[in-house]
Amino acid sequence: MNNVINKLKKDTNNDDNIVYRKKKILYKEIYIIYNQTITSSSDISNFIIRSLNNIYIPTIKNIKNKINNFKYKELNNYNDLTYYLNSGFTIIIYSQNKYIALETRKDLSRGITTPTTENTPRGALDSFTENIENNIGLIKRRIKSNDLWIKNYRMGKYTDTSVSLLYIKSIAKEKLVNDVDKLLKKINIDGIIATGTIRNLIEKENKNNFPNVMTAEKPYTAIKYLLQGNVVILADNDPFALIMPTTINDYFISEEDDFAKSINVSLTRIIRYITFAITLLTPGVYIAMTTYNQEIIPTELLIGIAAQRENVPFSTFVEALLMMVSFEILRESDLKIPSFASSAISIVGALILGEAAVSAGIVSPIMIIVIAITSISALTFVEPEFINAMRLYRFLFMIGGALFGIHGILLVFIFMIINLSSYDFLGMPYLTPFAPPITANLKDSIIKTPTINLNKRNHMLTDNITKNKSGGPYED
Amino acid sequence: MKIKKIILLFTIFILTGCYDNKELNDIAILTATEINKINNNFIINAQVVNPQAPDKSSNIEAPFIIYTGTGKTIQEAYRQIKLSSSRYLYPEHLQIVIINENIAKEDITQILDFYLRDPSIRTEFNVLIGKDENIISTTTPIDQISSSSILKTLETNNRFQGVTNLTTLNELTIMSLNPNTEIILPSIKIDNINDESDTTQNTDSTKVNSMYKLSGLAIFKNNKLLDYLTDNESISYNIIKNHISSSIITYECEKDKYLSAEIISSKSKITTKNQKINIDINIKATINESACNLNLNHNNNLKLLENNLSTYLKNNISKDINTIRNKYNSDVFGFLDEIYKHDYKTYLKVKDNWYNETYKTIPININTKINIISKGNIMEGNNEKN
Repeated sequence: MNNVINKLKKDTNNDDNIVYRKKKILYKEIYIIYNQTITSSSDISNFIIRSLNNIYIPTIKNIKNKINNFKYKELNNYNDLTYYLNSGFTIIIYSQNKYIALETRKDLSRGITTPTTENTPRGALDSFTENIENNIGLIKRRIKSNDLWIKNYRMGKYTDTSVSLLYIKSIAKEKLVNDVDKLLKKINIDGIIATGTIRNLIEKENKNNFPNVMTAEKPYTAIKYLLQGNVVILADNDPFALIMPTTINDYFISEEDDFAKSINVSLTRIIRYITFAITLLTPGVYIAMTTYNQEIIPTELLIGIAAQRENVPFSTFVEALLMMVSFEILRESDLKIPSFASSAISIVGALILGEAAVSAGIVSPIMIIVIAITSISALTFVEPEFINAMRLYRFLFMIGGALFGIHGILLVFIFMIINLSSYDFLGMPYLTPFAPPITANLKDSIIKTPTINLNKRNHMLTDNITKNKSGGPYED
Repeated sequence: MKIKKIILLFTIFILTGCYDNKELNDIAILTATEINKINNNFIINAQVVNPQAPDKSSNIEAPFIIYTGTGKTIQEAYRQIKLSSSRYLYPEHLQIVIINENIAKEDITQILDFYLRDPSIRTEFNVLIGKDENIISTTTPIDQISSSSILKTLETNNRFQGVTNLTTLNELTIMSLNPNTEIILPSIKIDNINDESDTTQNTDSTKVNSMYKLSGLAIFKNNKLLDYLTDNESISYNIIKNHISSSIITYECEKDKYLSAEIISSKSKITTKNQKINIDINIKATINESACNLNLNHNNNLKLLENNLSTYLKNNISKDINTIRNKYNSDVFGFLDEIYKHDYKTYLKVKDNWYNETYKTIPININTKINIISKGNIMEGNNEKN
């Protein structure tokens, strides 16, 4: 028995936080070990010590029966012992290779709060936390069926993080689940700090800079995709779930769409697709039109633009690049600074990027408008990866426009379409449902048909195509 | 190997890219050109927008600048401008070209040749005949750049009065190249031209000193200017050729009392059969103003007025056609073209003798139909008292 204690002491370098308490019951000496940083001492004294005090015959069976602790595990090897010890369990060492692990974890996670990144005017307001059990609970709370199946993994040589793969057995394709399962099993890494690490390890990062895996902060989003046949990955200590595989159209859909009528949703979707085009193309097309194809611009507007550009010493491309980069710097700093300083940034940003730059003759007012509409359009999307992906193509369009005019815009556009359409992830082409056309999903893309007509799932994601959906409008 | 391919591909871009890159600060936007010919030399007035001016309201700089060049050819004259212009003359926003009547009386084909040959010039600009010199250099109020002012006036006039029409270079080319039609172009003149016409003082007072004014259509034969039509003849021409969207018919309904009917829509069709020209004109009109005692609430009165108006219009148009036929002997209506298209046998018969004989004598049958669709807000004649 002392061997185990000595080995543990040696392995942990005599860590003071690990408490070794010797207790004698009749003739039998047992050790109670726990790590005080992650255990709740009141639990230990209330349940374990008090129970032990009531035991008079020290057999392992007796201890098992008498202890008022719900979660308990019998262990018989040293590795398991250390894992449970480091997970917040209290270990009772009965003999050389007979241990009992009792859950006495301290509650170190924060409570369920409102989401910070996915803001919608309507809809559920709970969000995932750092505790994986809470997170699974939030999902289970919404899917009461037994078909919600969960596969658990432990990843990371040092962090030993628990990772869960969630799917609905009767909807998700078995092949998809197996593929993801294989990918997850392949992962061998020092530590899983964020779900982003998992995402980057299983995605082909360099092939396509648009995201294939959606991060969701709200259980709502996770449920929605689970019901479509996607799989969800949760990792301990990270409040963001991974949803895969997703396609381009998924980034245009917002939770509030479920609360509105289909006509209104369709108009909103059209605007979202327009903002997508605006944010990609505006600076590039502006550069192309004002430096190559001036004949496209109506004469009066051209004179107006020329008048504004008269005092600007830079070429249009440099001017656009200057403003674009300054805006990106502003956005980056806005993400990093604490909220008490944000008003200072916004004043500096508005003054420098707006008024002062114009009156100093560095940029023209129309360029401010171009950059403003571009940047605002980009921010209508929730997923940061999507915004960043659009940024790359925006710069490509700017370069194309600056080098070859409208012709260059076309070249970059063709390049982009080829790139997006040739990419697929876990068997889902990225431009689904547009290419290949999937009627079931097209009904919920740029135009949303009435909810009652959305009664099919994407056959590429699931074999269980028919959604159960009935109901009807009230009729007199 | 792959790298070689990429380098090869990239050279394509490098070799082609940027060749026509031009920043807005480096171009002078050419909006109008006036072409004149004196002593066998072309004189070109090129109007270039001064982009600084519209930005600052207190600026006393002129809103546009006129560069002048002379040369044996139009191109040479244009190139001479480069002696004084700091920027590349950007011709793709050319809105109007005014051909002075001096050239028009000789021949306009060289001008056509120049503008059609140059690939960097769009052929969508409007062509006018200038009765005076220095029309585009005269400053204009409201629309400060005289070319856009003239263009807008042309459009407005065509929409509401119908004395002029808009003829782009393309249409002019078609008229010129078609052997069966003759050219007709809008014309423009300047009232009260003086030393201050091309300064901003010109527009300082409420009564603008010198101001351009559109006038009747210029009629050509064999690419040479003959004369100008009167306003009424121009309107008749535009009605026949369907170039009109709105105009006014002034009709004497009683002795020395007049009535105005506004044409809302006008459709005409020229057909030909058995060496006869048939013109059907269908007009929808409203009564705008009347000095006569006429109760239009009675259907009979309305019918009578419609009949009277169409007879009046018919007589007017036929009189104008005859004037054009006999005075100028120029087939601007394209009657021969109509015969060529729809009655080729007759065309072969008449084409040689067209101007000598047939054009002047061919019977022209005009059917006018006026439909008064609105009598205005006043129900009864204003002179009608109980």
